[in-house]
Amino acid sequence: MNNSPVVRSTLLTVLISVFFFLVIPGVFAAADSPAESPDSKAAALPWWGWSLILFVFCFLLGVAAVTAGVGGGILYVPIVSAVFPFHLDFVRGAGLLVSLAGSLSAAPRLLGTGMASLRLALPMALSACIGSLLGAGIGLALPGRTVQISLGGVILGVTALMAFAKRSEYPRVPVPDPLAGHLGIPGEYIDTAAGALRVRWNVHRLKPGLAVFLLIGFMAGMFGLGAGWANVPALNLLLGAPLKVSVATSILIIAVNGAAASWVYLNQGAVLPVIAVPSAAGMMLGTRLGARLLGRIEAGVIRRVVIGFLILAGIRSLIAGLGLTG
Amino acid sequence: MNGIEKTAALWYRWTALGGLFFSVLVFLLYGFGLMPTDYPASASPEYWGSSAAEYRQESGRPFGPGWFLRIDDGAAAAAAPALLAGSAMPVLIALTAAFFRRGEKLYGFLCLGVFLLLILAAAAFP
Repeated sequence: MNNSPVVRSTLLTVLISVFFFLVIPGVFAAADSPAESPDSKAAALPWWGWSLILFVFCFLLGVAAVTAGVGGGILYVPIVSAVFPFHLDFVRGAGLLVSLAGSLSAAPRLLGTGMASLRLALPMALSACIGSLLGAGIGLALPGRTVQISLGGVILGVTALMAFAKRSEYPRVPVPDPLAGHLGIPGEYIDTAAGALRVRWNVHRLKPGLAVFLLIGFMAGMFGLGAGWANVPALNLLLGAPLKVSVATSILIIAVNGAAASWVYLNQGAVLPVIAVPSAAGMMLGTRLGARLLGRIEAGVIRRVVIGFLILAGIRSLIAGLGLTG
Repeated sequence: MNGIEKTAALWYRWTALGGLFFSVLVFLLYGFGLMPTDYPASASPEYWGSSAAEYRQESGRPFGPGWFLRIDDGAAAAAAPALLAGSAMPVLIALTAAFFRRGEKLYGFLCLGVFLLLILAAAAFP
């Protein structure tokens, strides 16, 4: 019983959470406080020390994200804002660049498998792009506490979605959308995991899909979260695209709406290079290593730990937003 | 993989690699004081606990439209993340041209629309 994956996951989550939410922020707060000299405003740790720590942290986060089957963007904002002494504005700005770097890095491989559909991605990306521009603008104009409380709620919602949402490998599309046919969206791919099965697919509910992607883009831009957590269920369950097509196409959509929102953050001064560049580079390299390690490490346990960790990060964000911290 | 997906894969591969490489390179040049800037990386810890609005006010750095035109006037700090943010743009230009070449005008205009939105966002419009 003591060796069951659930017990191990719970113990690991508690240990990692104590370390990350209590020990590390304390150490970082000491390092971020001014040095001994009374006229010095600089932190005790030099900027490159922070960048190096952030790079290693994001590298490990990238490995965990791929292994747990989630996007790096959804882990980055709640965890880095909980652990590091950075304002949420800068973490959200960097989070968008982290998602963008991850999707740009994965796009060529996914396009090569024939599962990522440009014809499905482009209309959805246009809608998500408009939403993310609006979301980024509004997100930066809102008071910090409002964003923090909303972020806590969104993280808890996303965690529930990750834990409980059903997925359909090959959804049924009884009445294909005529607009999808007109746009040439229907496609096919070879599913090698299913014994070289040729899968022909189509989509329905294209217009509601465009509206949903506007909303997804809005939330991604507002919170800097990336959008794979919402893109995949929307493409798979609402539009009826096969699961593998949904995952691959989602990456192409993030590459566009992440770029749009990150320009808004950049122009508003909400992107600090010492935070954004090491984070994006670390996450990009970490996800590459994570993809190689897949199958060698116990993915189920890591996924449960990540979900447990996100729940705590969401609660922490709510507490911080409500001003209940000491 | 059909022709258009091949074009996209090729451009994504090079823009992702190029975007990351040049972004890290410019970041190191900026960080270690090898690029002209009136806002050194060592000043970042003074502001990263403040909101973006407070940072804009206190740092006196140039922000908003046309920051890239003032690159040697203190805006060098933004160049590294901007290279990453701009990585998707060459792919969209290549795809727009590829769709128009294939006679797929609808998708050509769709790509052009997304590209123009990114340009507007980069130029801080409105």
